[in-house]
Amino acid sequence: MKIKILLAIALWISSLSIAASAQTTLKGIVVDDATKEPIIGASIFIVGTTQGAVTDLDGLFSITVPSTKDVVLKVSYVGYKPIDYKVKNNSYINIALTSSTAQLDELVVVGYAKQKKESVIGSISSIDNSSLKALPVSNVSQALAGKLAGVQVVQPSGEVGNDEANVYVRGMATYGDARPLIVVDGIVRENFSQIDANEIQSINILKDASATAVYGVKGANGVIIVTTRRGSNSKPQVSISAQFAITQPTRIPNPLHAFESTALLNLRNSNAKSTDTYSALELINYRTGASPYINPDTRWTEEVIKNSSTMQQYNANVSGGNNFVKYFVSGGFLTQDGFYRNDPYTNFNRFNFRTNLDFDITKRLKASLSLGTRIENRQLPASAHYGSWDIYRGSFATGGYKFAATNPDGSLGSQNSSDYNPTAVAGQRGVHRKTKSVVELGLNLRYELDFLLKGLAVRGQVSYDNTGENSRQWEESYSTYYYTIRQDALGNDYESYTKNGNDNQLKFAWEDAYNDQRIYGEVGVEYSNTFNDIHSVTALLLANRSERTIGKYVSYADEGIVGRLTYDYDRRYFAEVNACYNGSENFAPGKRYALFPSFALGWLISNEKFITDNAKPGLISNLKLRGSLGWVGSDRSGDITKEEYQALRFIYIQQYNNAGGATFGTGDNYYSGITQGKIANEDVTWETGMKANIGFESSFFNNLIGINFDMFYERRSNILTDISSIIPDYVGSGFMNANVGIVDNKGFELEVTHNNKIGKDFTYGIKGNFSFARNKVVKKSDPLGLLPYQCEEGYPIGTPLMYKSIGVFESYEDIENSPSQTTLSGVTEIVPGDTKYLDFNGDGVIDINDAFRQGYGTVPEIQYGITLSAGYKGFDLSVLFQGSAHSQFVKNWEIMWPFSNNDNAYSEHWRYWTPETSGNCEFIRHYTTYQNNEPSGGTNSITMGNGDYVRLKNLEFGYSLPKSLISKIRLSGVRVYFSSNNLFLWSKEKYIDPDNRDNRGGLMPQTRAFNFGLNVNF
Amino acid sequence: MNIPKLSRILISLFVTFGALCFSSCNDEDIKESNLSGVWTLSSITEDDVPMTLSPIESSLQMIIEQNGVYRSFAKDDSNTQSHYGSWIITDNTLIDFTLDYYQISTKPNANTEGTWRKNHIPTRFTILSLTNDEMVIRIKTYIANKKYSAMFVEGTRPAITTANIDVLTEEFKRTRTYIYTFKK
Repeated sequence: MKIKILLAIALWISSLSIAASAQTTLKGIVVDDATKEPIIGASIFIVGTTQGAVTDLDGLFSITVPSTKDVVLKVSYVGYKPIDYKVKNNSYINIALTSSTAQLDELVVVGYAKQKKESVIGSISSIDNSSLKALPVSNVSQALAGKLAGVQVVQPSGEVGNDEANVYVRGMATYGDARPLIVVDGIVRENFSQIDANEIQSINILKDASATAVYGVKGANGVIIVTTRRGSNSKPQVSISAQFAITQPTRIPNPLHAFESTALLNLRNSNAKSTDTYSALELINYRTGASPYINPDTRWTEEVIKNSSTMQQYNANVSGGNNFVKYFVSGGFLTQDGFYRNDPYTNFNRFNFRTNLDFDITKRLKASLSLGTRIENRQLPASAHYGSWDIYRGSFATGGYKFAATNPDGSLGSQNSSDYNPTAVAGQRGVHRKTKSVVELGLNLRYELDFLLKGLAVRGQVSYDNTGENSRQWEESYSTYYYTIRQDALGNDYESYTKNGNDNQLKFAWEDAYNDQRIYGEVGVEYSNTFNDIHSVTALLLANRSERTIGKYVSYADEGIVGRLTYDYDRRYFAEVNACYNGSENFAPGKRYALFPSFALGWLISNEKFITDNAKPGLISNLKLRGSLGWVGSDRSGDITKEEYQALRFIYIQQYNNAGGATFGTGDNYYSGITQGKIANEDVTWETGMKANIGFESSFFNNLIGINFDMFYERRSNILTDISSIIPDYVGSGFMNANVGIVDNKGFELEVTHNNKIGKDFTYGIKGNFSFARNKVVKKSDPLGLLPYQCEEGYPIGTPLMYKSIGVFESYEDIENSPSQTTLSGVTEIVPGDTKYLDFNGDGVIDINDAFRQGYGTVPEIQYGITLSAGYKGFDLSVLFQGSAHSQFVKNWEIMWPFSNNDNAYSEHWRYWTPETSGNCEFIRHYTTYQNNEPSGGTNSITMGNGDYVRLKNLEFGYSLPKSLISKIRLSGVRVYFSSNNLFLWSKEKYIDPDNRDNRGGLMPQTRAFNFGLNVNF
Repeated sequence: MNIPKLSRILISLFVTFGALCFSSCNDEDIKESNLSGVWTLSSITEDDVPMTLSPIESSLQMIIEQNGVYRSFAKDDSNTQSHYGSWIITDNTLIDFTLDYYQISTKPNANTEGTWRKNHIPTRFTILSLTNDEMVIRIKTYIANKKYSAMFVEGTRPAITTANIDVLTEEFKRTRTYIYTFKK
């Protein structure tokens, strides 16, 4: 018996050991899918058992499983989506959990509210603080280029203090005012570009009607919502940043040297059957530099424009809070120097200050106080008061062959009294100082009425904005001298100086002040509740009113009622109705109000059971379809801050002007008269945009890859249009603009993202976006009888009407075998080297009927950007390539033609046509006017600048010091970095910036910046 | 991929890059310094057909100075010419000489002869080769320019009459390609 017992025990022990030998230890790590940081304390259970483990401080776990095959682990952690992980013969596994809070609780700022990201079914592009603050740009609008789908950015000027970019949402749907609405912290405001990037939490671009309908009569052009940073319930967190940038203009026209210019002048004279301007000896002097004062070769661009300038930005902010108050306080300073030599004036200084306070006054009552202020000081040469035109344009347009910068005696050179010496324009014509102070104050209150109805709250908001601007100008003038060698009566040479202009000391000239005040108030109720964990409802109803007083003009006012109702069923099916009933005083009483509704539906497919139950975990992390339809308005008919707008403001009121008069009655007395102005349009109304949008948002493989896509269509109708071209003269009066225009706008946007982590320390990401928006004028005031291909109707907004150049005539045989061009008005003779125009209508002659709409407008149809980023341990690198296509701008005068307006010639003009260089030239045969066969009153396609380009827009390389090191000195983060803006530019336009929109090229180009920065957090 | 294999790829990439760099710099590159000196006209072809040099063309000597100035001298039994002007090289492929050009200024009528107009203008040649002892340049231009202008040697201009105006006009419309070879 004892033996049996012993055997049984032995068998049991051996069976245990056999069983033990069949089990294995499985090891692995659990990480956050987005950050790749280890998750501490995650639970791992073997499905069907009670056996489990918990991850350690490094996210590691170890668990004994029967085998490594066909074991399913349930992995969960608070705030993350639990997953079932099927083990497949691997002994070490890497498990990534997706944050459920990111999915469920991440809030997106929408019109008048925040919405859970998951439930947003409008089309919105977003950019956050991290993408903005390290850029070496002087204003935020520049930083949007290439980063957001559906946003077109054109920066026509790089002038210090005046380099704001034009931002368009989904291109242009109107030939009226296409500027989007700007909303900062919930308040409609004029501008966001001068807000310190360190103050900004996010910028959201509302694109479709679902997102913008709540702005009713002001939302048709899209809405840019800027949200500033606020505090959180934490210890004080201080952040200090400093940036120092070396800046330089990117692209400046390259004037010819004096010899080439003067030789060209002779050549064009010869082509025009005229005599030489310069003798062979003078040309030799220009070529050899033998007579540097009489025959100078002044490089004005080098004399006037510095190789580099500087920009500095500093910011300190602190945020934190407790259960009662949360705060964010920020102070910033930016200073930027100018690009002109001998310029003691140009600089731009900006001081930004912001305080955002949030109080939890009681359990139910919350208050927020937001104060944003800034002072912008612009100082620039008086001559540049209206832009840098005089100085910058003068630097490249003044012929270097005309006179030296300084004469032998040190005096300023000139040729005649009409010449400004460019080197002195910046420093000796006075100074213009403009100070702009902006105060934006807002108070929000929110009171929860849970005791009445769960999820119910009332809210109110008031704000007061004040913008004051003061301009003062001091002027002076300087004399210049024409230097030459003359001969006296005895034939002896002597130096001659002829004075041009006068010396006047600096004195005060004028000042101007401007004030813009805006008061805004809103009250509303909001409701949010979820029933049975399946039905979620939110609702918003508010009324608002704003009044604005600009300078001396009669105050503006608008008011409205805004409503939103959203519903989601089981976080799968979403519906939303937005509406705004509002009006504008731009229109006649009784015709001021309208309802602008929108409807949207969404389907979060990734939350469907057939996905969650069947698809591999994480394979489809997010997949949402959404569509919207709505009507939005635009009451903008111009820039209301401008004087000229006033004439358009009350177009529903008949206006009369003081004009004319007559002498009559006894005593030959003259009596002034009154004339009727343009006939009023009593029916004037808003533009209405009918917007439709359909799209999807998706991410796959645990958010490894994300793809978002939107298609849109908008029909903008009732566009205010100048109808003078269709009113016959016999009517005897002009008419105010009428709402006759219609424009269609459609396109698509694509965003693709990929983020990954390889190994423990290497991360990389790719983010690309591509936007296409093409509009078409459906109806405008084209005169009757205009040829269809010359009408604006049927073509994109701004499509130029012009003759199309198809090359140059290579020979007289070519001329004889081509359609005659002498039928063009003003053209008498064609010679080889002249522009050859397309016979568009094929009638064998080139005449006015061959001009047709072609090319593109000034707003690009296509913009795209691709950001490449990588990180390794403390190092990070990101590169943004940004591009634009399908846009054109007019080049004329000195930026197009040599010696236009008696100015300069540029390197492209030297590569002119001759029989020898035919096929390898950049410019046509020279002529004394613009071109030999300039069509009278017509534009030629060679005068169109090409706006296509690709820029290496940003490059940033940084290093964050190890936390183990900086924590010893009580710092939580230290990062040093180098960043650069506009490092390289590739464009078809060789000599000027492709974002230039001045037809004379007189705006400073965008700047290239090399920036060194430091961020310290503690 | 093992390291030696990667190294081989990198080395071949460097070699290819280097070869490309060197291939872009060949012996045909123009050296502006070769231009200065005294040049004698050796030959002229017209549309690839050698032209017989006139005595005055055969005597042409051109002094090209480094500073951008040239002077030319030519003579025959009855005529001595000297011209001067400037030169400049563009893109290492083109050379402009400023030359005296003659064009019809006014047309003749039954009572009055037409007149010539002179301009001193840049004239663009393509540099076919330029070594220390030979310069070959090409120009495609109108027959009249070669014939009557001072294209290094100034031609004899006829009086412009109603009898020859059509011929002259035609000569200002028809192009030929001329290749000038100069030797030091």
